[in-house]
Amino acid sequence: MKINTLKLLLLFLILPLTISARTSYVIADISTHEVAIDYRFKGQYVTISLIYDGESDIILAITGPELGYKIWKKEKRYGIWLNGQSYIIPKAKSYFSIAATKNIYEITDIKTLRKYNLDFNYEDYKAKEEYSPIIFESFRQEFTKYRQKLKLYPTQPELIEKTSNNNLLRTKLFLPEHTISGTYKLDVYAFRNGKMLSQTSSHFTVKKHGLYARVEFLSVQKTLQYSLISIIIALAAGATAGFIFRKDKS
Amino acid sequence: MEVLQIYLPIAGININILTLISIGIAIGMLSGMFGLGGGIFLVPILIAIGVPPQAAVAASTNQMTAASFSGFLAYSRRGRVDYKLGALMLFGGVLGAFAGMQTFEYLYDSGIIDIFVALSLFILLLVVGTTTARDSIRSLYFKYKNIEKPKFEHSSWMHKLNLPYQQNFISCRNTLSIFSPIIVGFTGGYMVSLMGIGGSLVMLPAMIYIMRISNAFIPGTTHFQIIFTTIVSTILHSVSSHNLDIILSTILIAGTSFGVQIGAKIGSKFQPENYRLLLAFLMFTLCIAVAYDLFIRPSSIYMVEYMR
Repeated sequence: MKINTLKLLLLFLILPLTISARTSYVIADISTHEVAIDYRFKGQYVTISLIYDGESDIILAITGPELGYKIWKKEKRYGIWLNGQSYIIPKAKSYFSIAATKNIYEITDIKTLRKYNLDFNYEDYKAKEEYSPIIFESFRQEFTKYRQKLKLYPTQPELIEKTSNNNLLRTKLFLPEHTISGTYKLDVYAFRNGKMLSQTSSHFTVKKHGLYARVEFLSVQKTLQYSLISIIIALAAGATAGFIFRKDKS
Repeated sequence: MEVLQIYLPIAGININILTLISIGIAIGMLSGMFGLGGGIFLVPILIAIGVPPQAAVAASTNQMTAASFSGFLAYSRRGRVDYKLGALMLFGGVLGAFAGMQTFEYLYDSGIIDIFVALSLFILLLVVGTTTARDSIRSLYFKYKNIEKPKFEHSSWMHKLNLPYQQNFISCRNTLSIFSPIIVGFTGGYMVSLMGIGGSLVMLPAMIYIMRISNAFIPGTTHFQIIFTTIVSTILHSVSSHNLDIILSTILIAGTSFGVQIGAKIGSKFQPENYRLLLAFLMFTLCIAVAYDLFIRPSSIYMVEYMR
């Protein structure tokens, strides 16, 4: 992390000398390239530091791995709330967060925002089933609300703050406890007068560590071994309790 | 308190470790007092604190292995386990566990697993809660009036059916068809896999009223059978749906192991009819909570789940 900050400082000193004032540029640095999930994990902030030309409007987005989802709608039948209609989204963002120097709709037009997947109010995914647009829209809204509730999808963009120096920006984005393991992509865009002039990408990984990595591996790859360990723990605990109980009786 | 938070890797939530241990102790106490596996209380409690239903069912089956093994050891030392009867129940139980798992997957894919489990729990809690409350109030009435409780001879339709392959069992005065314990065991195993409950709520009355097994042998033999059906169910849940959270079940087991002993001590100090009324009260409370979810409009009529 220290090396990253040093690199960023060096770039900060060199870049303004090599790039003319009119050129748009943006360079990003992430506070960590690996978010570790262990027993203490309850979400983590990722700090993104940016060096830019001092004039552009910046939008950045973090996109998590894609997942398949199934959404059910409950319906009241015979007086009981049952699951009725459902639809499957084969691929959708498991995590998405966005930050900008100002209102993203003031930075550029919707068409451009959608082109770069930056319009958080619009997601281009398809459902497996074919429903009428009205029904699909209600399902879509609920799917977005579900991820917003788990802090996996934004309700509004975070603010990218200017630091004391005009060329340095900083923002913090939150990865909640429901974040899944995988590679997360950071895309940073510099706009001027509504046009995208510069773009940079980076990535970081979210992965389970130590015992948790082992648990994840065993639970998916070595299921029989994993269940046998669980059973041995249960039998050992039961036997210990039985032993203490006997000791107590005698 | 923040240091006591623990992340559950398969359930995917962060939870206070003391909450889980307390739940384990409470469920263990109920197991020790009433001779139940505790799954009927554990599954809805885990769901209420945010554990996904599939992970709650899988953890519950694993937790029941510990409780049943502990109970089995205590009864086997006193020679109160009918192994022949238990083996037949186990045979039925293993078949039931496989059938229950198939049903679980079918209902899960159809999106009605939670409704099915909730509706089954509601009916089961209502029927068993009413029976327990009635028996307990009746016993207390005779005790209060200081008169001897009349003995009822329960008719057994399984005896009347005259099923083939009649056998003698040390726990039963009359001969019994080998199919009777297989059917009862099957029901228990089916419920373990499908609902994450040990099935003792169904197996205990079936052994008393239908098979007419001696009261002294019932808990030990039931525990003996439940150990194996929960083991089979744990393996099935782990292999087929990858929902077993070893961290969650281990913490619960640690709490249960202590709770069982505390519960057994409390149970031995009080008359059964007194705490059976408490059990009935707990069942009705749970029944109302389950009914609320079934019949009252939920806050969101949509349910989202990700596909592994």
